[in-house]
Amino acid sequence: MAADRTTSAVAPETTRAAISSDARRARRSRRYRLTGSYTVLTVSAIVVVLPLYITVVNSLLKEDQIAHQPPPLFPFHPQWHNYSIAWTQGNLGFYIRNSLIMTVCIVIAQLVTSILAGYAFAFLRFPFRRTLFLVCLATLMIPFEVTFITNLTTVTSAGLFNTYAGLAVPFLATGFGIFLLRQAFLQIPKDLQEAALLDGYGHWRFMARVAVPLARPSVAALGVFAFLAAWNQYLWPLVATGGTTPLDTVQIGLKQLYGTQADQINVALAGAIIAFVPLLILLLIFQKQLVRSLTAGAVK
Amino acid sequence: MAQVIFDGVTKRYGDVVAVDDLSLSIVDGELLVLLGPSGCGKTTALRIVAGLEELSAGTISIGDAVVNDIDPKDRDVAMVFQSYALYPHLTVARNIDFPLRQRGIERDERARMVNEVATMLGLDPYLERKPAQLSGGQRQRVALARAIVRSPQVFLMDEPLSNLDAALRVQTRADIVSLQDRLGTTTLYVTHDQVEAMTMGDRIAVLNHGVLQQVAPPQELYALPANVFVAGFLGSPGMNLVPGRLDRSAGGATVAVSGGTVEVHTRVHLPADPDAAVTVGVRPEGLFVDPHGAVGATVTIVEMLGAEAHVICTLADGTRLVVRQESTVPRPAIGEAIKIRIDPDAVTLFDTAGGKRLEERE
Repeated sequence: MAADRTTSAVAPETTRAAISSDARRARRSRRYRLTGSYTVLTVSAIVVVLPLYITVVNSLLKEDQIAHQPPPLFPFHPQWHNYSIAWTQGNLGFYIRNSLIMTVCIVIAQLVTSILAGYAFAFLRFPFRRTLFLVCLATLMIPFEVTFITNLTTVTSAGLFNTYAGLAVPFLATGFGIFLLRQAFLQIPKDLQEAALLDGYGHWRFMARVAVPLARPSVAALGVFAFLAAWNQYLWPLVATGGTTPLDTVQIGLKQLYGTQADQINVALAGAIIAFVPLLILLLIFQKQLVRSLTAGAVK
Repeated sequence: MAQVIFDGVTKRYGDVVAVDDLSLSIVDGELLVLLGPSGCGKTTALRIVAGLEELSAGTISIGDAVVNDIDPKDRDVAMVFQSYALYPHLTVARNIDFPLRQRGIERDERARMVNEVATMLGLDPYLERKPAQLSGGQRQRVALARAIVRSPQVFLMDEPLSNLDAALRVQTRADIVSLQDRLGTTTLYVTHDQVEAMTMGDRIAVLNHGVLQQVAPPQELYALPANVFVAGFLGSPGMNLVPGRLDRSAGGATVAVSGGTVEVHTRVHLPADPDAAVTVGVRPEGLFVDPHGAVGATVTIVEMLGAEAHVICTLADGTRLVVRQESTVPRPAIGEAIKIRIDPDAVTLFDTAGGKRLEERE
């Protein structure tokens, strides 16, 4: 009996000790995991941000400082006039205007076509629906370069060579946009559509009043993706405008700036930063929607 | 307001018959409950009235018009969905207003209608909230408000209480009944919950495997079930069903069941065959634990429910019986061999072969 009592008196302490050592181990392993994740994240952030940082720094240096070894990591006497030189000598205002016109046309058209097709694939029943959707998906696997020549001959034969329409027309609808919005529309419960049907809303009104507002994060994300892709195009605008005409876009403008100011890399880099500003503004505005659409369906 | 008539309505999905030759009329202003287990076709029948499903055969009429080929939006019916189907991006006020916007009603008039319905359902404080900021019960009321605001000819309700907790469900079902009573709108209400059906319906239509089993007011359905399915499905717990064999040897009529004999009244049309197989149906409140009872059984479980207790026992052949007792009556112990007395007035006889109730003689 005495022995029993001793055992039972000791037992809770042993248990307590075991629990606290378990808790310590769990805490320690959580700390390691956190340290690990933050290390990976920090390294990745540096890898991503460093080139951008160096571009900004170099765009603010004098020409002779760039050639200096090792190159300075901070612009102690920032040369802001590099930016005004790039803007005036590179005629960037003109190129940015061209790019904006082309990009806005492409973004609006892609949103319209993707909303309509995505809605149809999600909500309408029609023959060959699956097959047509697979065809749309299959276009994702064909690189633009493959259809480049065909597009060029089509645009030329349609009399659109060297026009804004010619710049935009191959990008007015994309398999990616249709896929993205179809998936977003599929998330909308069928009950909502039926409720709207009974409330007197046909497909067009349901799409405008319910489906598109509910798919807003994906629509916004598609707008941003389309903008990025259109803005950063180089090859198609170069070829579709002949490369030397008043319709050149900002990326071609940058190339020309670099060509004419070969000894002034700092100015060319300042031009690149200027060309990046519209994208930066867009990303800042739509940051939330982008993250939400990229992670949608990730946790469910 | 209008009557709704199903005439020979059939709905097939490939080889599966969801609704089989359903003929049923819902009287103007009535609250008719479609009751049945999952997959019995009750929701399909409701969706057929809404126009969300096409018919395979038969006709469906609302008021005096056959609506088979009329679009859902032109049928003038409003539906409350099980999921409520509220528009998550719109406020409560805009949700209620949604069906009105389509009808060319002036903005001020619409606002007045929305406010009136919101007040009726106690939604005034929440008009500017989004559905995600509401509790289940509030969302349910918004769904009702959206249906009511249009003053439709017919309300269709698809298990509208199934997402509420038990206490709220009891409260809301009383609210719906009084609301329906006040508005006098013909209502078709679908549920699998027989308590909901019993407490809410002017009449109940019981469906099983797409086939209409019986339509009757709740009390009649409970007292005089048309067949063994209705007998077993209605009531909580359902009617006890014991297989037996008719015995007329002693001049009167008794039914031999496992563990004893059951005395029955001879006022029903008994089968011609003197020892025909019959099913004895008796509600738990028609059974008594009594040392002088005629049927022997063994107690397996005793469930205490507060005001009453359910003594669950098995007969020699394994048939399960539930006896309802007042909680003040001493309860038998588990495993105890008991005798059960059956009130002859509480016995309903069914034809074992067809499952139909044996009719009373005139």
